[in-house]
Amino acid sequence: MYLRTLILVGVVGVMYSCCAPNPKIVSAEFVPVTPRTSGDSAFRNQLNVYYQEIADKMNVEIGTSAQQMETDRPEGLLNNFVAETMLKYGNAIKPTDVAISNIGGLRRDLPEGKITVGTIYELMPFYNKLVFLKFSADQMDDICQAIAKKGGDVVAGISMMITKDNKAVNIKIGGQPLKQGKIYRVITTDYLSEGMDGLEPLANYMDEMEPLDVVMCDMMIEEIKKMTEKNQVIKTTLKNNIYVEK
Amino acid sequence: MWKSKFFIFTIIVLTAISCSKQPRTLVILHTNDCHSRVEPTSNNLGGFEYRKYLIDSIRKVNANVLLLDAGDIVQGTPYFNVYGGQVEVEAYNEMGYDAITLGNHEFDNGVDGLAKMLKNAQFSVVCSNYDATNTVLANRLKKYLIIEKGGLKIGIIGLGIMPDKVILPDNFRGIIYSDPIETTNHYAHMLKSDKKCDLVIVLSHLGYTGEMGDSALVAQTQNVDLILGGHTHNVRGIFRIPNLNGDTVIVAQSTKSCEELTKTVVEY
Repeated sequence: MYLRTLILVGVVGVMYSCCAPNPKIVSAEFVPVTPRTSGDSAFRNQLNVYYQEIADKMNVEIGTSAQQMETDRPEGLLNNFVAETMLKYGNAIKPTDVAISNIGGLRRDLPEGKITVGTIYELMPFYNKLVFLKFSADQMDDICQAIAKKGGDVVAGISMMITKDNKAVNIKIGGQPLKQGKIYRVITTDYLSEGMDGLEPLANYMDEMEPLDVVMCDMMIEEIKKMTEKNQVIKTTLKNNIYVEK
Repeated sequence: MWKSKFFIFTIIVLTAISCSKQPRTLVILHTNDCHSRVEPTSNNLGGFEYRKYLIDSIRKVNANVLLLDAGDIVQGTPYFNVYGGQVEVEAYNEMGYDAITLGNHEFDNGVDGLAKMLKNAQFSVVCSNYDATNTVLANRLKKYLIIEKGGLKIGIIGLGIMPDKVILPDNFRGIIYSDPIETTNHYAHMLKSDKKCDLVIVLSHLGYTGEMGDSALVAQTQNVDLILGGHTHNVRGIFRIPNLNGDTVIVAQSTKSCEELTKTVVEY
């Protein structure tokens, strides 16, 4: 009788262990999301509404570029076009010495020919707002050293040579050597004002930052529209402002 | 004699029934860094329509599907600039996501922007190491999740990246970040021991590489069965890494834009 009880207890134990979940990962793999039309027509229709609205917004033509522009280091046509446009925008508000953005924030080239709203959204998809920051001459020097360390960036208003050991020398702002006691105004993005993307010294600005409450992408679209209205050709040149020691 | 035969017969039948049953399966699907890819990419892969079809077709043959995302569902196409995340959240509702964790780009429109974006979300948002108690996200962010699927109790931990130099302080205002390793060990132990979860999954936006990445996390944690990651973009892999106890843990992550998803099959 005892034996039977013992067997029964044993069997119940085996049953329990068989029934209790004992999960095991048996496979893990990637599955590609391949072209298939969803059977869910309500879902597809809703997406189509969004597709159409975005297409209508993005396909609006805002100008024509006279040249293919790309980013490069130490300087590129696209670096210059973006930074020069920022500097011009800043100067229309108050005297601005320098414009700084980052190559990492420019996500595509600007092809020769038609420019649409979509092109600029793809060029700068991030929701970065423009800000004014103020710096002393020494702080400007620090910023230039950070730019030199990166081998150049998206910059207007600064000229300098990057030495073989990545130091900035012969620094000039607006064509003039750095002057002790002078306060320099820089237009950049809120993102870079936090010292992001290797530009730490941009976070050390004097006083308070002055937010411009405009997204960089929207500023660019408006500026290109204005150039087009004024029949200005959309192009730039390599200035050799930032050059590498031979 | 008759009694004895009957007893043996009963035991054989019981044992056979309990042990010969087919193992059940749970399918865990995971995406990461989809970055507002509403439409397919230039490779004609991904996008919400194709993704929903794929998920629906997997659901047709598997009763138990857990659908998760490791963050950065937004930013990268004009859909986010124009609609602020509404398109992504609606599509995630329709695809039937169970849970997501937060990527750094979820904060691109600030805490208020994120709260607005998640207002109509029908999925859970789990972030164990972001304390949002004093913000408008307080009721939205879960410290951990327990999801029951097909008789299996699954604990889910979410991990967000250290915000320094990645999220603008203004956009992260009021949220308190804490160490992902300590957080993971705390919640994983709780989920396994106290809450009796059969499986513990970490949904991570820490990135794969670096001191604070998933590969480093595994070696310093225990009680975690699977890590589904994101953030790195240029890492694609299903890695098998030993944890603190020397047990192998799978760490999966895909590249950005969601041209593919990971599928992990669990038998129980």
